[in-house]
Amino acid sequence: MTGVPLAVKDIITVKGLKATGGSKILENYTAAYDATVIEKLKKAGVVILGKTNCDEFAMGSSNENSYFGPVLNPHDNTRVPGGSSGGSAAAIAADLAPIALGTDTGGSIRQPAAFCGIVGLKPSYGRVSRFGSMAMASSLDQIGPMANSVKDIAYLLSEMVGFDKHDSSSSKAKSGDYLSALTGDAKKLRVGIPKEYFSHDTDADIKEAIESKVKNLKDAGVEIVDVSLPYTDYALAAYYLLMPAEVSSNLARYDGLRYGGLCLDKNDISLDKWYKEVRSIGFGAETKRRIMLGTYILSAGYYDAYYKQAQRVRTLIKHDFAKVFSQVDVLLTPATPTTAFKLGEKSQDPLQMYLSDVFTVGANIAGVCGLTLPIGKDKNDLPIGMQLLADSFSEEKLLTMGNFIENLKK
Amino acid sequence: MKLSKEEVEKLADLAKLQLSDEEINLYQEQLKDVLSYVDKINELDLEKIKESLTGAEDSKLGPRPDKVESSQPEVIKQACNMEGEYMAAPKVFDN
Repeated sequence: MTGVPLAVKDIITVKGLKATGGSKILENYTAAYDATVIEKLKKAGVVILGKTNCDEFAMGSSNENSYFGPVLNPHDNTRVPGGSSGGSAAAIAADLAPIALGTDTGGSIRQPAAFCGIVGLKPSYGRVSRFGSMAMASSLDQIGPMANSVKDIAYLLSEMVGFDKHDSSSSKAKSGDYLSALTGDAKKLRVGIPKEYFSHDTDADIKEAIESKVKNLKDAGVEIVDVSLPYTDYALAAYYLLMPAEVSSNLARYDGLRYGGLCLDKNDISLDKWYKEVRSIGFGAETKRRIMLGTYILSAGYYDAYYKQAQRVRTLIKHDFAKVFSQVDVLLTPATPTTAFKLGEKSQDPLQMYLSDVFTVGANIAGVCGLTLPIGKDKNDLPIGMQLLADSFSEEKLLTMGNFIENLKK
Repeated sequence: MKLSKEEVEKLADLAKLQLSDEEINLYQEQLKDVLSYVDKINELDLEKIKESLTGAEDSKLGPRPDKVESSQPEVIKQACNMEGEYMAAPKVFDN
């Protein structure tokens, strides 16, 4: 990969470059070390082109939550690029970079990839080291590749994977042969269509594009099976409990004293007041909202009713996926219920914004891997994304099927 | 789902956030909406279900030997108040 330029979401550290996480509280922070993925990619010859904008601490579905301003969708600059890895997705779609890194906690790689008409992969939990990625929700976060084609994703992923002693969630499971997977036999893979992913208020154009792709696959000799993930409806609710709880805890580290903090005069202020002032100036509205939500969920009296219950729902969702992956190799779903929405359209209504993550959060909760790829355009000429999901550490299956679907187009 | 203004103020205090009246009112409404939505998990009978910490097999995760190996000096240097080699914070105790 010598000389290939890489754009890096500004939540991942590159030694000597600013690392803001899209937040004012880190406006002046310069990374002291390379993230493990950056170290690996530099060794592979990749050139770091620069950092890309993102929602503050990777929290958002529209990229409107960055302190440094929103990212615009290159297909229509009155619309959002998706989030939170919106800068990375837009950079590829606008031909500013051929490959990029993103992070995905509830869909933050796959949803902007879908909105910008590019390919994005969320690897299985533990497949890629997260050392050097700012922690948002540690039981869900994963770094992954973004590119113009499934083939480029395979090349990039091959250089990112592997055990890392610096990340306690890093897996020792053997890495796959991702390049060979590109030429694997897609007809040997059974594809499942989970009915719950088609019962939501999904745009008619998206449904139609997915149905037509399913028909193409059938015609090409791929076996298609109807399956069910009964707890899908509860996945989003569990996500919006687990995630903010972990966010409120992870973001406690931003105290304005470390990481190039916002300097107040320490002599005429108490420590408690210092924390409150710095965090109120330094964090944006969505970040504060999620910290408040998480603080509520973890507070005495609610921890059992919310956080523990959500962890039990996670077990049910894991069982759902385990059962379905004993029947099929790959699941095929829409990536998002709508194509890219207008800037400002959902920013006043957090719950509406959260509901747009409905198809992507399941993979994070269950730790499985997911790929989104463009399969056409809607009536407004906006990209439509399709999602493929596979069991943990089965990225090869996604690449085999993804590459096959990409070539169906031609 | 009820969430009083006082509860929101208490949360802000626990979270070390100083919020304006406008923010308190806004978050009171928005948190209520979100909490009413997520409460749907309590429709499920979860009593006999084991909790999962992550999507991975939790038994495979665990601590590693704690060895000092850090980029601390470069990180510490960026603190906003340094006194010699130390970061300085506001006073915690009054005289």
